[in-house]
Amino acid sequence: MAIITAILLITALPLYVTFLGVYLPQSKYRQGLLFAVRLPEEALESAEIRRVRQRFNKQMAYVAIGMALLLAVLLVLLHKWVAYQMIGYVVWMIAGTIGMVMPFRRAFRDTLAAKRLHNWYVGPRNTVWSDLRVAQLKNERAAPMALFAVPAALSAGLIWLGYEQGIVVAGIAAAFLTAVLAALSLAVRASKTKVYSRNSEVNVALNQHFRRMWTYALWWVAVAENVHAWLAIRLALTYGEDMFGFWLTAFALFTLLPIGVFFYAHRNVRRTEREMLASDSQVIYSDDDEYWGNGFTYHNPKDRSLFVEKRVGIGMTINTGTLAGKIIVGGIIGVTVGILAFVLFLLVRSELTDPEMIVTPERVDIRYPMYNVQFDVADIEQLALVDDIPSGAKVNGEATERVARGHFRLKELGTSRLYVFKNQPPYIQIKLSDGYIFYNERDPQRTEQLYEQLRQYAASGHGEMSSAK
Amino acid sequence: MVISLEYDSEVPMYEQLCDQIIIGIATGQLAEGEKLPTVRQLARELGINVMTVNKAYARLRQEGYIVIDRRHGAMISPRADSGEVEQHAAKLKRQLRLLIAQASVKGIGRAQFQQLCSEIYSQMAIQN
Repeated sequence: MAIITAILLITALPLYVTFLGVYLPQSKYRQGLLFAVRLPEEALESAEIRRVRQRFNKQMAYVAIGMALLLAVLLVLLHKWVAYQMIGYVVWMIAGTIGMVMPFRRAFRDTLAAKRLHNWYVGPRNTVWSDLRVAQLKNERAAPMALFAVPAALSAGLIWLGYEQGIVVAGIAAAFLTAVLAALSLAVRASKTKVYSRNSEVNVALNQHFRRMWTYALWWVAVAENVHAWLAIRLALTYGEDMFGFWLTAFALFTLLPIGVFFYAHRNVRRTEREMLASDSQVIYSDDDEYWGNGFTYHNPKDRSLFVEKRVGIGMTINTGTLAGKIIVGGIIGVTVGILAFVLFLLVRSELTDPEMIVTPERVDIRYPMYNVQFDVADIEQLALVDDIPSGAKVNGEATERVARGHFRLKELGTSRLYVFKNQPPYIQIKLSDGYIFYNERDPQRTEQLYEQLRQYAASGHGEMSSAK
Repeated sequence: MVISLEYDSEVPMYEQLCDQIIIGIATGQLAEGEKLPTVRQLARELGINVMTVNKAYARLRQEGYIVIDRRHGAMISPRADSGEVEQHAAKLKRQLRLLIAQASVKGIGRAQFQQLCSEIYSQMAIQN
């Protein structure tokens, strides 16, 4: 089963759809914005703006088709070589991000240039707005922070459950995500309010609605991610069994859930804004285009607020004009690049190096980066050459279609270390006091030779040891 | 009520804030006894320094437009009683003398000055 291919596809599709969903609608004039530039309606009639829109639509069509083809090629052609498939996937993600952003960036710049040329300014510039009543009442209807006790308790339960089953990672990841979502909820509460109208009631209603939708959306996602982590544990425990397909599907569906929840919150907020402002005669427009670099990054040193609502896409973005904003954005980029580079390095190394077993009359040494193991020949409790390895789940290491290396939990045998090429029997099975080790070479004959050597050394060491073929 | 501050105005931020709150009271957008945000809340909302808002509130309090209570925070003062009106009339007279002098030097005559005053009165829809 091409699990990696399936997982890559499951993660790539939402990414692809999200990108298209975010950038394609930018060529539509909505709430006074076109390509994230505030424009008066009459500007849409100009030939320049029409050209910009046409070019953008054409470029986006090319990018969308190109990216889909590239992904298909990547997943089909490279599915045998996991490391290269992963690298290809990362390249696809980066290329896709750039490819999707470029047409938008160009359209944004051209639109802004046309706006400056024709003086299409709407509302006052360099002005900051605030509603005195909203400042006090903004969080009255938001989800109470205490609600996060529920997902926090779920995470604690998962860590405990994982501890019993030997898979703590899922619980810790859930706890971490819960903490991140709680922090985001705090950020939404603390974020700057928006002034829509001279009418305070409209401002209070819309700002409260925005906070209510987003804080509850974040809370629901925190709960859902804990269920997701529980599904991950179930999935790991049923690896290779009949129910595996069911758990994999459930797991995959939960990957999409947060996107759905956030999308719903976003749509709901925007719809309410449209409806309320349509019947309001005192709407305020202000022009802060100059602080939106590229149309989607916010840089305003005069504004001390860290989080502002996005113009393009869903949610909030960070003000890189503040020191904290610079640190956060720099940190995120640094950590992401670091993790990606590290993971890809590990993958390539494992693709290029194979485990090696060195046998001497006294000691056995299995060498494989990060998963070295050494033991005395005298410590071998049982030695056998087997044709099958019981099914099980990876605890830590690599499990691909070709190989299984690292720490695993196997049915009936429990914790084991595997250094095997899958579907290349036989396998050397070694029982030590703290678990089993499985090892084979790519070449079955080499495996048999190694086994024979081991058996001789072990037999000369102590006669009572049981061995079997 | 909605406050708008201009970043590159000649008028300092704290003064812009004071002026708008006073106008807000006069036009009835801010009612007697209505609570204002805390200094911290407002500074965060406007993305400006806490000290700026603090300065504005201190001046508004000093001039009697708002009262600051340890427990309830800042709120709009009750309307002036007759004693204060007398006092303020004297202050206003001083300020107007300067304004009228400036206006006449710049060529704005009595009729035009009075015309401007009544225009502003009707625009602001001053509440009594």
